[in-house]
Amino acid sequence: MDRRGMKKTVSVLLSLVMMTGVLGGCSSDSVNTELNIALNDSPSTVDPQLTYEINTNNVISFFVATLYEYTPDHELVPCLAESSEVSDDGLIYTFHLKEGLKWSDGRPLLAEDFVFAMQRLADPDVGSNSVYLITDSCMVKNAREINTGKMPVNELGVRALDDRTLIVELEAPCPYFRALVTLPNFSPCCEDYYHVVGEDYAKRADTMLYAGPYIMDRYEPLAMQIHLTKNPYYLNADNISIEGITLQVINANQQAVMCYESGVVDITQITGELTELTEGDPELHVYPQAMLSFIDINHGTNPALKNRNIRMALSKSIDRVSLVENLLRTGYSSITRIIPPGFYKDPDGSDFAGDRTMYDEYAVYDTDEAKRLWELGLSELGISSLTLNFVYATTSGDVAEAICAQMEKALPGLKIELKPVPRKEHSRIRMSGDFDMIMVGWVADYSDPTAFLSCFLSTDHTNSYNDPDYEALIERCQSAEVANNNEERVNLMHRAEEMLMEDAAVIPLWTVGRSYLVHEGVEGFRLTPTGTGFVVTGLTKEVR
Amino acid sequence: MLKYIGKRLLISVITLLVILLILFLLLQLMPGSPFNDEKLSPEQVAQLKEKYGLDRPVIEQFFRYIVNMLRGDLGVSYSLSANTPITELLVNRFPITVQIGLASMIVGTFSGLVLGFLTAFFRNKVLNFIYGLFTLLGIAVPSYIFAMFFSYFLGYRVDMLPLLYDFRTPILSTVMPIMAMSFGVMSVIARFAKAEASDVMKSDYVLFAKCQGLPNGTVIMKYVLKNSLMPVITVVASLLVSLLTGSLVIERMFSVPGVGGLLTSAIDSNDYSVVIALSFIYSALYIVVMLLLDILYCIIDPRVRLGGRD
Repeated sequence: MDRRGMKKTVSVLLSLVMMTGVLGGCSSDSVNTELNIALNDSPSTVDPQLTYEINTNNVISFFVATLYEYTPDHELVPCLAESSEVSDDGLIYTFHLKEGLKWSDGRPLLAEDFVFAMQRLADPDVGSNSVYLITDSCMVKNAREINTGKMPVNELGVRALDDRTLIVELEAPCPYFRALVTLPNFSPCCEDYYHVVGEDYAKRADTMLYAGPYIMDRYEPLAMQIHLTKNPYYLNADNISIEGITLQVINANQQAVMCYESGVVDITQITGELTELTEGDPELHVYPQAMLSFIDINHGTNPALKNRNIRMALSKSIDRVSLVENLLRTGYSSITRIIPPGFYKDPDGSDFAGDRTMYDEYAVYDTDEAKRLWELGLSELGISSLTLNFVYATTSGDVAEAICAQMEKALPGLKIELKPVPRKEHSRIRMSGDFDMIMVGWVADYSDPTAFLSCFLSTDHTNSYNDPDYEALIERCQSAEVANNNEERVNLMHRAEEMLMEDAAVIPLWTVGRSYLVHEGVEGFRLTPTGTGFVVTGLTKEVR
Repeated sequence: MLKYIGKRLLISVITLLVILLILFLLLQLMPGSPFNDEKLSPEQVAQLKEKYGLDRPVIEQFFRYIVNMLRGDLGVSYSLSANTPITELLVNRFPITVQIGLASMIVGTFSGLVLGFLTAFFRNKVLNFIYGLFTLLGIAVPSYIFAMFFSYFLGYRVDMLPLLYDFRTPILSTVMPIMAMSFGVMSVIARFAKAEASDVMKSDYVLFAKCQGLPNGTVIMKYVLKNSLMPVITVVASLLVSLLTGSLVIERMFSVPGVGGLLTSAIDSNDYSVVIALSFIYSALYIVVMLLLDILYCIIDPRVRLGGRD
């Protein structure tokens, strides 16, 4: 081949290579709306009535639809319901379903499906760990009797007036009932289908019907990988732009970050030390959670803890800001009130807990004031020193020890016996009351301040605080006459929170958000603060 | 021989029943219950315990479990995977764990034998150095460090192998877990193989064979290898059981849907039925492998059989 021929051949080859490149580029520009999300644990179930943990709710949120839902801005809006009304006494809710609702196999979704779902939730034979939602959080008529086997499930106070009208009867007013039904446990379940698949229901991807944005096409119990595809029958299917989602369980934190960095996953939750390493990363997003960490005080046994000055001194001796900045880091923020910010709005649209310093005088770190109150408390009790035990889960070891060290340093004569216990023993100890102080983390199930405030009622099986004025106030908050007057109700809830803080009934510590790394091209990724799961509508991924 | 096997089988069954009873008694001492959510009232916890029969006396639970087990029913998971039959959980997971465990065993044993025997037969400095390095690393460094190393370099930096287990590429995505798990096996086997082969090579019968003028290759293949393998089989058997029960850390690291992490998760969440089923299966596996090993010994070495008779 002569030189000219050689040149020609090379230029043809180069052109081919360039064309291949261009074509290759074209292929990478083709629509790729598959989203990969890393989860840090397998869901314990995909049966919506059985779910009881946030991780499981996150998975389920992709394929269930509920009567009401939260928007990405945390506004409560109807989803499967078109509208709803409540009776004057606050005991009867009527939900009108949207027209043309369908299950993922095309069959109509009816009001009867909600009736069956709630019956399953209350049914002792189903054995849902979330049964308290229907028996305690809202007291659906006869739910308790059904759960204790005293009544058959068909006596539950839920009925379908017609295909599109659902009526729920409550035993006591529940002003937050619409917020509560955003939980997947209240999502519909088709009775006919359930009886056809029998015991296999929700054990495999093909033994479930779906009403939400996606359907599962790959799942097995304790799956490490779940695949979802768009549900064409979902009522808002047009607003769902991502065709498929892979949920990949990655237990190891460092592996999750490597997968994220190498593009194997688009979104990953990060915890532990890696949260600190990613501080300042523009792709790091912290989503607030309706979660409060606090020190629960045993008001029942130790006479010293019945003294308000002692309790307040303990609270004011803790430097929460330093703990958050030096030990807990990203995602955590100190708090000196009961209600965490960002999960409930006042009638004027402002955050219920927007003012973070509102109750600082009762809880903010002030060693001089703490010492003064402490000495006052000790003299009232006629003692010069005090020994208290402090129970905490072993997983919170560092921070619990730091809290106790701060208390002992600030309060002369205080000796704290540390009692680390396994996580699963923690709740038993709390319920038995065998402690002076116990470190607790509490996540609200529904977006209403009473999700926290009702923890301090004497009727709560974990609580030892008993103040008749406080009880009366909360009872009024839940009453029918106040239920429909949101402004008054919110004022009462503010007053209830103030009472707890004034009385130093509890020692709030911090709130925590969930940290996620989200690739630049992914938009609209949100989590609800109450743990109902991901907000799927509006989720998009930039096409490359 | 048959009488011996029958006797061993009977002892194995009794051992398994005793293990099962001890497990039932130990689980009563575990703190908490499978239903640890503070939001559940004591009555609701009692209701859930009644549903799963956990409110019954332990002996009744024990006998009920045995009856169900004979029917192939290992119960359901209480909390880890609510209401899922345990057999269903295991059927999907055991094959993957066994596949990775067996592959690690084969790779580790084969490479260990090659390394050990080569070092014993050809005493040169380079081989000795490689042997020393690999066996030291394999014994001193835990498998999860290898897993992290392979993940970072082969998975993340070079992007040669998948960082996670993927059911669409089951062979490729198990390469790194197998590599990480086989390293330890290789070093143990290499040490045994080298030590045994060195001893056998010094033995009288090998010396005699060499004196008879047999070629070196024949002596090694016919006498040294065969006689060096016997003690290695014992080591392989015990390693095999630990590999078949899965590696918690490796499975968690590579998101392998095996049984490795299941037992610890079950203990952590007090999922009694999963703990009992897995512990029972592990014990049974160990007993069966040991029984097979004893039988194999009887076949390979008649002296063991005679010893048994005496």
